[in-house]
Amino acid sequence: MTFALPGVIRKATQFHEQERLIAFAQTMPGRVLVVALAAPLLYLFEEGKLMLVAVCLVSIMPSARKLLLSLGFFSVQPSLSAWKQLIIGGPFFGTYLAAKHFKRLPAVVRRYPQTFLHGAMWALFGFIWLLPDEGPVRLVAVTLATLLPYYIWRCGYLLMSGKRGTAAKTGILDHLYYLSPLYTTDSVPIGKGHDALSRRESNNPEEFAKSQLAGLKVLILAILWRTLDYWLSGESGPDARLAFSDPLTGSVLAFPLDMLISGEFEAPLLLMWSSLYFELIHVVLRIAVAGHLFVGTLRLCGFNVMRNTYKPLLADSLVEFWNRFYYYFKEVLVEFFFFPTYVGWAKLPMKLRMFMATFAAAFVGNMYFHVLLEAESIIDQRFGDLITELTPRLIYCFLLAAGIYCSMLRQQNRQGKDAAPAGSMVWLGRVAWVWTFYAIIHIWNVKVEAVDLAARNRFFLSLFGIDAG
Amino acid sequence: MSRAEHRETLLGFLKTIQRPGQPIEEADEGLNLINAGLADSLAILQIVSYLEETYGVDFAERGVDPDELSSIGGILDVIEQSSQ
Repeated sequence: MTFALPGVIRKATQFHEQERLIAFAQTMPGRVLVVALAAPLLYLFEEGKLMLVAVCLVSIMPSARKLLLSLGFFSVQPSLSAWKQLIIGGPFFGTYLAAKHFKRLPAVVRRYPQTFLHGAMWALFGFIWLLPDEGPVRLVAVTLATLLPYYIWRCGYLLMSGKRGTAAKTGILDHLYYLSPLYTTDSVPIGKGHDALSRRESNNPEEFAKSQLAGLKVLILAILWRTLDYWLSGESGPDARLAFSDPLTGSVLAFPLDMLISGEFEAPLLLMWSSLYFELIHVVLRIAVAGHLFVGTLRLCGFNVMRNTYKPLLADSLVEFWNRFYYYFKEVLVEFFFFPTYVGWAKLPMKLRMFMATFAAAFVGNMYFHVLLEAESIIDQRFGDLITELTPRLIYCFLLAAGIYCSMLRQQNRQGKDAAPAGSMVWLGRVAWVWTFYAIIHIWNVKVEAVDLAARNRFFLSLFGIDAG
Repeated sequence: MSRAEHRETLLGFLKTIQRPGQPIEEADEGLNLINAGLADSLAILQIVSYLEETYGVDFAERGVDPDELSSIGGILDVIEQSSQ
């Protein structure tokens, strides 16, 4: 759903589609100007400095972009020493060989390549549990096990390319740049893998110019949204993370949600609800800012990929919000969990297939993704800590899956009918419901220090005036 | 059947799942139907089911590539590959 903008505003906001600008951006002065405009935008972000180096290099030699971005293998995490890069290089190269020679793999591995990939990772965890507490073998194994969860989904995309046959004629440099990316610090593969990035790669100067201009646009948005987020979060001044107040009257409009849940602040009912909605906006802005930085860098390097966040607060259905809020995380869940489950149960009625696939993705896959982020707890066998940390997330993922499934069913029923026009009362009502749903389930997703599940449940009940003691 | 014949059959199916009022028969083969607003994200599931039932495509074997199934050209490629 989009609103029609007045012509002048639309021309300004869609500058990256203006033909004259695209033509200018193909010239040497144009390319220099694009980089000169991108530089301060990137420099405002801590991780943007390294990305700026990549953008400059690729702007000089766009056809060598994969080679230049592969330098990220040696610099993606400055704190990593060279030998750790070599350690992770082993699994990279092994996965690449498996993808390139996919047809030669045993039939069971070809049928379930992701299962074998993750099985190998869990076998490593199990191996570590059997090792003595110290020693060089443990050092290497633990280093690898700590790094793997960050890279496992990227390796998974590489194996997908193998299964589709698109990796057969590629070299390692066709994959290294996204396996160990310079353009993102997210464990979620922004831009996905070889197949998706190849489709979005610029093949001529005009496409490159369009991609770079589109990259500038999202970087500008990143700065705008970051500024707005700082203002809403009260982080622009010395009293960071205190309540958001009306700048005119000074009245408190919202408290940080984690402080309300932990009981640091008590608030009247209206303020609790406004805090929920402010938190939702804050989370959306935070995800948008990070995603725009990563996508902007990729686009400036000639990969005109889709945005990670695209107007989720204007979504009029739960599934549409989920599509727009954190697109590449959603794609991980869809490609690694939803579709394999959906096609694995081909004989079932479609609605049942959708149910199983949705829960496989939004519940099981979502939980599993976050379990892997706690690799150190797994390695140290601190399963009690793991359970405590992730139990609230169980509720969040269950509610998310249920909501998305119901939304998909309603979407199916609405197919063939005209959608409610943007701005209408029906549309506003749907958007309000979407905001409310995601704001509420975030109660079990927000990070709150030293707080048990009961505190989150109590807070939820208190929203409806129920005092659960 | 030729690619053109497959395209006509496919368009007949896509019209049943597309967003109303959108000229899907004019869509370029390379156009992403979802990004262009011609179909919603649920369409991919229905396209998978359609290909399974009509052409016997085994997606458990070949995997699902959402980008490939988002365009008319990509879907036709899958149909042609399955009939080889």
